[in-house]
Amino acid sequence: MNELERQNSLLRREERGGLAKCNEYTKRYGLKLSEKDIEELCEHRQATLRQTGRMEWGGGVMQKLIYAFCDSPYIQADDYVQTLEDLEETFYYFKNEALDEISDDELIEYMKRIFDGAGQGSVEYLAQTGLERLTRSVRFGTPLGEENEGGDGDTEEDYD
Amino acid sequence: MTEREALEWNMLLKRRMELYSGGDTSAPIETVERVLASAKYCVEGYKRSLADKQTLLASEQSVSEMFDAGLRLQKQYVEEAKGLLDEVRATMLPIELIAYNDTVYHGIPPFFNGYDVYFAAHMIPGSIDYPLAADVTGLAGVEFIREYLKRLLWENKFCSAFAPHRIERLLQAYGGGWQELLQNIMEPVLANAIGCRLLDIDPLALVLDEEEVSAAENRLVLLPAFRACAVAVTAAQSVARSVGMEGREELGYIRLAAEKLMSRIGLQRVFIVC
Repeated sequence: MNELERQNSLLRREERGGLAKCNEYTKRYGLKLSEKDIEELCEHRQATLRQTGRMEWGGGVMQKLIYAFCDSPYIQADDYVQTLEDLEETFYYFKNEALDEISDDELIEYMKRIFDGAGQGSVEYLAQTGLERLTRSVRFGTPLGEENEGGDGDTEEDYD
Repeated sequence: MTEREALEWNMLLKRRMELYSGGDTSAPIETVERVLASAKYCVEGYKRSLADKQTLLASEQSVSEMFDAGLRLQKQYVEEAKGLLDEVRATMLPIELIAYNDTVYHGIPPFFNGYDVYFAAHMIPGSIDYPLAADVTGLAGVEFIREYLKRLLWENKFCSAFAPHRIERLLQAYGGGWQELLQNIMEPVLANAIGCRLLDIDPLALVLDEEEVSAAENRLVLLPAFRACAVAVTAAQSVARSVGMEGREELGYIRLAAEKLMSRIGLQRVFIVC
């Protein structure tokens, strides 16, 4: 085990406790992670981090995603874990695409707005439209207006 | 590494990454590796700076404490290196060797603009082409630059005792385009100064004809290697003292440069006919 892997393994221990704590807040929305769910999310997190060539510290981004998305009308208890996994993958992918020029909180806020708005709960829509626009805007330094957030010419109003 | 140390490193890495990312929770692995390498460099630098008797004291400090002390030390080295660059510039030899002048006036200054002591302390931005008589090895970051500048300053000090036109004549022996070569200035100066000293000629003249070069080489090649090296080092340090170099460190550097020269004796021509 190299030094970075050792550090990574130590950081993973922290994550489990952090995710279990989220239940206290999300139960008001009917969302709860079981021990098995937490284990699955941790496994998924490792795979996603490997795929995207990233490393996390502290509680990681999953806790932030849970707190941000748990009140979404499009998240249901039966697909809660799957949606979290999809959101996490999307988050990391676009974090890399945006060359880390956008902060976690800004990216999550943007994701939530598209997910609850024009995306109507579709992570696929979120990734293929709004976030593409966002990363292009960050990379090329072009302004991103509210009207662009829905994707190629779409506006949130079109979907309302 | 003990479990306790691993946990302390974990805490330190987390603290550094939080600071680096401004509150974000992840970063590309290359970034984390760089920040970790930087922290390790600071801790190792701190440990190296301690005298042996204090090593025990260091072992009782936490990783975080050693890192903080190491970071302070590296910042101090940056200031020292800036001062050394000023001194090097003030003692530059009027020799038109491009690599020598470019490194000092254009290659090293960007180091101080680009150096990130907080998160990339082990890296060396800037461009250093000019080779020293004895290269700096085993150091990185500002410790490398500081040592490089120290050595360059000693080389300037040594060479400034010799007339520039005599130094240029030595360098001209390398051929018509000597100004463009990646060639150290002190090396041929030291070689011929040693040769002159061995033959009881005034070392400041630096002049050796073909016969004298052969005589100087014969004085050394006929001896066992360790003895030849000792003779050359003694001659080199004697010249250095005569031009005002008295410090232990600077004389140590002259020894190092002379030893490097002697590693070539019998294999290549060390002394220069001029």
